[in-house]
Amino acid sequence: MDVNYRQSVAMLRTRSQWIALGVLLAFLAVAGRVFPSEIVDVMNMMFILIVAAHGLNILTGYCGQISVGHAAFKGTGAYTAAMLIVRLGWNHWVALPVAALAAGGAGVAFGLPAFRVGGFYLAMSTLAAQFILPALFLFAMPGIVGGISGITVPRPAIGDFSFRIPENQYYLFMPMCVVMTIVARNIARSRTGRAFVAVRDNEPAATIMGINPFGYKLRAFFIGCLFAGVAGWMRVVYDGCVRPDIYPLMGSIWMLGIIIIGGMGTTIGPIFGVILVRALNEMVLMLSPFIGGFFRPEIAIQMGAGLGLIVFAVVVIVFLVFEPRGLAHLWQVFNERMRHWPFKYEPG
Amino acid sequence: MIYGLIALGIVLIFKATKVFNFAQGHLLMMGVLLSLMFINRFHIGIAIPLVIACAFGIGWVLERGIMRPLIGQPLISALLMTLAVAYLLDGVATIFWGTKIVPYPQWYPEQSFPFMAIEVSSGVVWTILVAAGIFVALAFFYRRSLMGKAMRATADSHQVSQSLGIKVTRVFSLCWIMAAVIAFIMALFFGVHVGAFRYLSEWGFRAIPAVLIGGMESILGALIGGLLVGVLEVIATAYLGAFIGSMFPFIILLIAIIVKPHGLFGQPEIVRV
Repeated sequence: MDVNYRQSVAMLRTRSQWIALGVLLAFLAVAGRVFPSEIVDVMNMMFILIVAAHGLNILTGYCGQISVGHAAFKGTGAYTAAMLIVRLGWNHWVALPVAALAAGGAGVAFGLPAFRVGGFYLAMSTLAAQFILPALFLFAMPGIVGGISGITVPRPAIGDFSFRIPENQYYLFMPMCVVMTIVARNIARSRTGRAFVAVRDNEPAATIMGINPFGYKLRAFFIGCLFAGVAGWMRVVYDGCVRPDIYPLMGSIWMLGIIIIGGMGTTIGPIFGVILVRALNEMVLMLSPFIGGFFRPEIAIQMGAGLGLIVFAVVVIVFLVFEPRGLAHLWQVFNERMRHWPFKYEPG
Repeated sequence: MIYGLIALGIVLIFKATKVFNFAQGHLLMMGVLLSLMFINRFHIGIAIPLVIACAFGIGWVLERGIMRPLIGQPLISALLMTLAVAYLLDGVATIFWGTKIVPYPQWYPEQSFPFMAIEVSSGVVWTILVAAGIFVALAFFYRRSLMGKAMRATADSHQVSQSLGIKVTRVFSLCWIMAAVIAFIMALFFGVHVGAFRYLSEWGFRAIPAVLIGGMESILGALIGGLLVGVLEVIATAYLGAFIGSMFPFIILLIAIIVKPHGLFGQPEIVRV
């Protein structure tokens, strides 16, 4: 193959990849108008989660810094956006970068202990973030932050195209998700992304190679939480309000589960993870009244909530035990198999 | 005090297996709910052994079935696994017990008596006595018994102790079982104080600052850290309001991580390339 440099660093190297991308984008472009409203709504939620999952994937998957506070950082972005829009009357589109920066700043603030400790202790500091930030949303200055009932935020609009109904929100979230995915991919394969991987794999060795682990960890925190802030802004548009209970510890753990299931340290992973987890969740919600029918009524009421937790936990456990590299690895194996087909595939 | 004992369970597991157990609070919750069920059905003399037997079973199943395949995997896998276990227990509890607070039977005689100018209820005394008993028993176990020594060796180095003929996997099992048993015993007392409900598991997360302040590897540290965090939280709630009080353990945690990351009694680890 005559490959020049531009070709070999390109994200899409073959014609079939371009065709696949074209088909996917065409599908995404029409999907918002073709599917019924409920499905579009679920897809919107997936787009938001994918953006947030990309952030956590950069932080945890590439840089190896476990964060159990991602939902809180998302909430920081959401609350910043809501306060700017409602209390100060800012434009939605101006509030977006500010919200992202605020979440990134919060991430750096809670990542600062990385200066002294690593790995596991840092996870504890993000756990502190997960408890302190939502407590702030709930208790601090109820007149401004909104207290328990939160803030109601008007939806943005471009001309007459208002993002009030799911079908229209789709055309805001889908392009944002696509752009953020490309950004995430490009961060991962840049010098910064490679430094993240070096810090993750062997910190002392990375130091010897001239990488400042502390600086790169903070950078990972900043970028990861920036994504969370963008996702938080999207969530404000999605819900039309902010409330303290939208960003619980459970949310953070869902995010971690999603990147584990999808495959950490790959850009495709979070996308797979979100799709699988959300699809399973919707299925559980649909099936739980049916399963609940076999039990006593007082048990049946709680079936949905409880079963959702159990299914999620079991899926995470199964992936951790049997395929810690996640769906992304299965996808890679599948691709290799197809490439060698009809010859036998020997895993290398 | 409760913080201290949850912290104790976490430290026990961490010491030997280097896995941080996020599900310790959920074990406590399961303990409260299961013991509630047994105490309501059977006489107390049968219920307590049953509860402890359940703890044995759960501890063993968790280690054998779920944590064992992860030996040798990176830290995050084990962390996430305990979180997944936590939510599995949460889901089971939600289905079978719902989210309401259920009154917990008063299974020991309750009376209060004056002690140095304050009224102390016998429940508190019992709790403290049992906690102290567990602590002393553990100290003896670690110092004197062969298994205890094996556990301390395992804590130092898995490979060396394996090559000296210690069954490291058995040590791991035992650690998880001990942690589960401690959680379940404490559940018997804890249930009486606050009632039985699903959100008890939250306490597990609130005990984490206690673990870090005490030092990850120190059993004494866990108890002292637990007391410290508990007392400081009560004081903060009283003087600064519920808002600061509810997040105070985590503020302490942040300060602890920045100022003294290895806790009062922990040892820093030396990393080589």
